[in-house]
Amino acid sequence: MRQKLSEGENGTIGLTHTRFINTICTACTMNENLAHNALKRAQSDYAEVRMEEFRGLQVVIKNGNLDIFQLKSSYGLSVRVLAEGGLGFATTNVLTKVSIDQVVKKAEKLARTSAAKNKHPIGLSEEDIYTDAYAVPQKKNIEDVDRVQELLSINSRLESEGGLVFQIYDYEDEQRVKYFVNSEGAEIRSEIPRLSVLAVLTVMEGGKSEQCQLQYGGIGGWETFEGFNLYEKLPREIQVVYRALKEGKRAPTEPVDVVMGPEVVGIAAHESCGHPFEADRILGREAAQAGESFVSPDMRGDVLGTELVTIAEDPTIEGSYGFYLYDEEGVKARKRLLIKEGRINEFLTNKETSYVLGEHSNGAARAIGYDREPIVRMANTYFSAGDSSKGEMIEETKKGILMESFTEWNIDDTRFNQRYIGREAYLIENGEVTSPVVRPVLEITTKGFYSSVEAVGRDITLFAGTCGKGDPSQGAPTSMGGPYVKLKNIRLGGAHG
Amino acid sequence: MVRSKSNSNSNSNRSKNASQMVKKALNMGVDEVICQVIREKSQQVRFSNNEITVGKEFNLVKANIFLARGKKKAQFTLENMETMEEDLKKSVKFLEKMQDNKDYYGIAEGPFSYRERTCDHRIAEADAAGLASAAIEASDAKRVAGVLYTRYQHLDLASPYTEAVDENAFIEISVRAFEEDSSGHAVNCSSTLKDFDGEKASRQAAALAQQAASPELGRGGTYDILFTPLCFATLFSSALFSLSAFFVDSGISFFWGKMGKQVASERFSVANDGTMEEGIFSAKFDEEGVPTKRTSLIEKGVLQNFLHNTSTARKFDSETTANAGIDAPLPQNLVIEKGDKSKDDLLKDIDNGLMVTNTWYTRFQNYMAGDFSTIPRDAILVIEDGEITGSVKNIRISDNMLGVLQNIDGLGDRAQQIHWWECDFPIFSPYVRVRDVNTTMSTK
Repeated sequence: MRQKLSEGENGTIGLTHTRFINTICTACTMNENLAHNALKRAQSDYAEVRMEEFRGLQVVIKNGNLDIFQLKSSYGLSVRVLAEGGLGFATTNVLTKVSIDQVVKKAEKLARTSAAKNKHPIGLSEEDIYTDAYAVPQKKNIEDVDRVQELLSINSRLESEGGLVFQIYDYEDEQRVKYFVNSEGAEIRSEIPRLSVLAVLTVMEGGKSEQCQLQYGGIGGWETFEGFNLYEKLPREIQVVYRALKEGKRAPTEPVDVVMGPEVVGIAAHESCGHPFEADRILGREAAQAGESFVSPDMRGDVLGTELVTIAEDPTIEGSYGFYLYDEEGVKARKRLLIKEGRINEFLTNKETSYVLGEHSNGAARAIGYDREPIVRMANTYFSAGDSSKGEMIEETKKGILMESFTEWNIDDTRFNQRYIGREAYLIENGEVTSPVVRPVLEITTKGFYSSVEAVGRDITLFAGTCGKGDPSQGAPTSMGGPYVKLKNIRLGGAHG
Repeated sequence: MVRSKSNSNSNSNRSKNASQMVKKALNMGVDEVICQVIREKSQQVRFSNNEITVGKEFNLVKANIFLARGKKKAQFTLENMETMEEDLKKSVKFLEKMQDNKDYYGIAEGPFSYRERTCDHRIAEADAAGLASAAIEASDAKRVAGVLYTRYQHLDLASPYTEAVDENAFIEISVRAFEEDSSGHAVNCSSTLKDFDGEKASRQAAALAQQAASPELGRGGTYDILFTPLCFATLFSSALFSLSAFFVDSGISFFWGKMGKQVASERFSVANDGTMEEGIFSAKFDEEGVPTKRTSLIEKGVLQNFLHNTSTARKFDSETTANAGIDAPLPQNLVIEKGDKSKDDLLKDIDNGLMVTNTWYTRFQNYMAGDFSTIPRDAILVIEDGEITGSVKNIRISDNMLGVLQNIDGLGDRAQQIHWWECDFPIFSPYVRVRDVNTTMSTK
């Protein structure tokens, strides 16, 4: 999804979400009493029950052929308890009294067994208690649309594009109804319809190939898919890559200025600010899998970048792919400023990590399904707006690179050494965009990146992405973005000696 | 039709679920149907900072149903037991309205016979917290983090051509040990409780962390690299999609157009093997009910086979390799053929190189070309004149996967089974030595 945003004078993005609880999925049959019964059986210091009903569709179109059509459904609950300083978590989708009883007992046993082996008890922060319900409406009901035909039409539209040899579309939608209750009295109902499409487009010319992997995602009904505007955007992507294959030059080897588009700025904000500011990484809980962080708890207030750098995280942005109003621990979501004017400001926390840090949770606990433990996650991460523009940045650049989008990227497991390779990129010469550049490589430390920010644009665009973390893996819908951002004096290509 | 001989009494009751769904679907007028009912119980204990962070148990019953009529096909993953029959009716109605799939060429028709397999049922009830605690205690590193995981799975499969039942269980641990400024990672995976050794993995991780103490900032450049089994398996796992006919057919494979060609060093051979007792993803049959087998994929560097189900095999004018995935063929256990050198022999022929013990975040610029980068993590040991002389940090391998495979010039004489968070399918890998690997670093 590419979503245009404008920040208000106070730096907040205007919200007009409404509660439409009467739109709860008509096909869903959730029996909330089962969750209450499970909660009543729990004998722990703290217990929560998360119940979900899910219906979804996956369609894969491969070169104009309907290759995969898969309907998915699930319905189950999980119980998480804190007992004697240990955490236990158990799940089932067999929703009989006996089975639910067993799951409650198992969660409590797991918690007590863990606690018995630990020296330091786990705690959860005390938070305000909410009872609420919200739903994201569908203006055009997804299930009323012939989604296969819509995707085939896009495929047909692209067939005439020069150089295109493979086109794959992996489309998914879901309606997920959630019910959360805990032993402190919180009770949250939600329904969020969500859809996404990943296009993998391969272009060949003269024995060389390039690939675009483009993800679009959002919440709501079919109107959200229509808003992706794929009939215009995908042909352009192919034309850009095809041109680069035919005319692209190598990136300059001497240090130059780099103007990055919102897509590149977004992935950098996600990878080098969002992830290392997750408190569970900072405290070592994800050490064996997704890794730790270059940030430590005592670094709040430290300078990480220029004063132009402010990175925000906000689950409550209406229509965003990472949207939610309450997290999976019943904590009310709010905007967080992770980096404020160049200084480390706030971490993303859940109740477990905020207890350790001696503060309140800022509502970052997410789980991709009832059968996954809520852990600290991003939602919508973006580089906040400045007062410049793309045109001004280019005009003021004598020699540089405009990197609009990226292909390969990665970052180390403390989130300090990262790399982004340009997909659509151009030379800037004497204030003008000239020829395309093939795969410029920005390989840079996090400190180097944020310390090089010289100008920040006014207009923010968000892009959808699936964020990987957790074990078992939890691919979470997120969005990331920002305005155009200019870095000064960057040597591209990675260091070789 | 030959039934599996290892069914227990309880299994025969369960197998009715799958066969009943098949009969109902056939009565609704479909031509082909495969139903797989999976009952799964998993345990997980996660630990960090030398303590258990959470104990988990997952209980799941789900049905995967494949339906076809003519060239129309559809799949249904149903985890809502209360609406399963109703969902089946809806599914058949969906099928009636669907477009043909010109790439669908049918399912396996049998008859099949299945070999005996054993399943260590004790794994399902293993004392996961106790085993995790023992692994924590076994480490002399400053701190350890990791995950211990057990999975028991009962599979009940039926189609018009076969009915079969299988049971699988495995246990694995992934441990990362930390010293002041270094870390090490090790895993241990087993299909039996008696062969599982979580404490050994914990000690190995600690030893690597200690060996890599006080790393210096690395320097980008070209190095001969000795990959440990954990590292090479993790790197190769990111390339597995390239061996699946589904992804080859989509242009998402650097093996596209290379069947029968030299794609790797002649020292390099890899096979899929769904039959080996020690393989944690071994199975009696694939998702079509075809008995699993061993299939050479790359033999002495020459691309011999892709992973196939019946439909992709017919499209490619080949035979199924018993790797259904109904849609996308998937491996069971990958086996990289061992070489004839000890680890020390592999080391001593490296004048200027690195021993890389783990990696993550492998990403491709272009799946068809195979250009990629990956970020070594944990111990990166410096090799000078055949000896380990220190450690470095902050390097990135930036190369081409076909180039890496072609530059393999030595393999160890022992293999280890690797499966963890960054290695989705179990891979048996030895130490692998690769010449002239390109590495880069941050420029600022």
